[in-house]
Amino acid sequence: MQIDWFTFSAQIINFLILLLLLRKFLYGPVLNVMKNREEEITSRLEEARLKLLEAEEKAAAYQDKLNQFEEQKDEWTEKARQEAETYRKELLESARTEVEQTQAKWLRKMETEQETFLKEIEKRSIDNIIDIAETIVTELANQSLEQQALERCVEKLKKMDPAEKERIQVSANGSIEVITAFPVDEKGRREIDDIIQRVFSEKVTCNFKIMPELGFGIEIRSGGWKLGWSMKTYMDELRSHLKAIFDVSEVSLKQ
Amino acid sequence: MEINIDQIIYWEWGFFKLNATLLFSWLIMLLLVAGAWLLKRDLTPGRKMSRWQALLESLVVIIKQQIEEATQEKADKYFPFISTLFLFIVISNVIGVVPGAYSPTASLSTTAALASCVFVAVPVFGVMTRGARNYFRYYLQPTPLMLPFNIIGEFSRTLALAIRLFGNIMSGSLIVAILLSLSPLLFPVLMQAFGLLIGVIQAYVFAILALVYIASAAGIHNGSTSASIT
Repeated sequence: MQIDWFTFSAQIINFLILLLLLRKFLYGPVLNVMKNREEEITSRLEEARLKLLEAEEKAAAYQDKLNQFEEQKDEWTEKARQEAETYRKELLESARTEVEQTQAKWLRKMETEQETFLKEIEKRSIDNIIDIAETIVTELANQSLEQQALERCVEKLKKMDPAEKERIQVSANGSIEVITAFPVDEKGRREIDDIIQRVFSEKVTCNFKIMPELGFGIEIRSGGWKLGWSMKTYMDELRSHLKAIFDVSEVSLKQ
Repeated sequence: MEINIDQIIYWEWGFFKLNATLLFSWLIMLLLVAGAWLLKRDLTPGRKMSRWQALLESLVVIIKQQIEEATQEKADKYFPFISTLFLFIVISNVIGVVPGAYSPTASLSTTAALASCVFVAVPVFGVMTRGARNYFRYYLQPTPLMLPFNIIGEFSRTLALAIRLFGNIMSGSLIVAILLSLSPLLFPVLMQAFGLLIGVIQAYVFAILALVYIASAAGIHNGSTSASIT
């Protein structure tokens, strides 16, 4: 067991050569690769850390926005509720106005119809009453009734106020229109002429006319002035009274 | 059965000779360099890598961790020397199980050469790290009277390195050879397996001791531990 010095020297050289070769072919590349991988991993970790920070910042920003949204949500809800309430009130008001307008229109129409109906009733009632009265009077009228009407008219003329007589005379301008329902005979005419001339003046002449619508009686007309006693006069008065009664009833109905 | 494989000579020319130690050392070197070249070809810095690269990187990481644990500093400076020692010795030790092959570390010349490399590397790393004056002042500690003992300590631990490795590997080969002549097949196979374990452990012990010597010389451990570990 001894050392072979040639082998000893050769082994030292071999070891040094092996050290150099492995350094070139193994350690250098492997260590470089590992170092590069470490750097890559470190850079990726750093990148991940930065991204994490960025993500945390974004998360915080979104959380802030979410909080703001939560805060504003109640406000918006209240605003929307108020708007809805206002809109509801507007709609209700509009509907109420529309209903009121429709109701008013309907009432007006009702009133109009009622008025028309009442007027129609009034007109028909008056017409019927007048017709009945006219029929009665016409059927009962005769020369003697006419004569009585004439006498009544003459009494009226006689009782006339002198100032009024003067005014009629002036407006008559010499001619007075005498209207009767039945034809007046010559005697009757002379008598009327005589009475007229006595009441007014001898210069006044009578112009006789027949108007069956009078029913019976006599009317004396001159320049817008009228005096007489006839069924038509009574009927007109009756019509006025009835109309007044109906108008009063109508007013009380409306109230 | 040759006890000294330096005596197995295949070719000789004057002072130069090709014995089993050198032949198998070259074969191991060739194996290591070829393997390194093959691995280097497929090295990739990405996350997808071959199994061999993963194995190699795991080995590198383990060696670096061992160095960093022992030196308490970055392993880059010591890594090539220590890992070359370990790889060469571990392959040399386990190649002995191949029939017809001889472990170069079963030769005292090889182990002495490797121990001598450590012997030289210790002051080289010490001077590089601490400076020549600081390093050589260590030999005068604690008193100048200790100079001869410190020098003897340096030589003796180098000798111990060489003899330990040589003795373990040579004895393992010798025991298997003796058992082959005495007992049936099974028991020597067991001893061969055991020899593999011994080989790996001895490679580890050699590399770690070399590391500790270098680290102590570099002032990592305040220069007090190296003399006690032999």
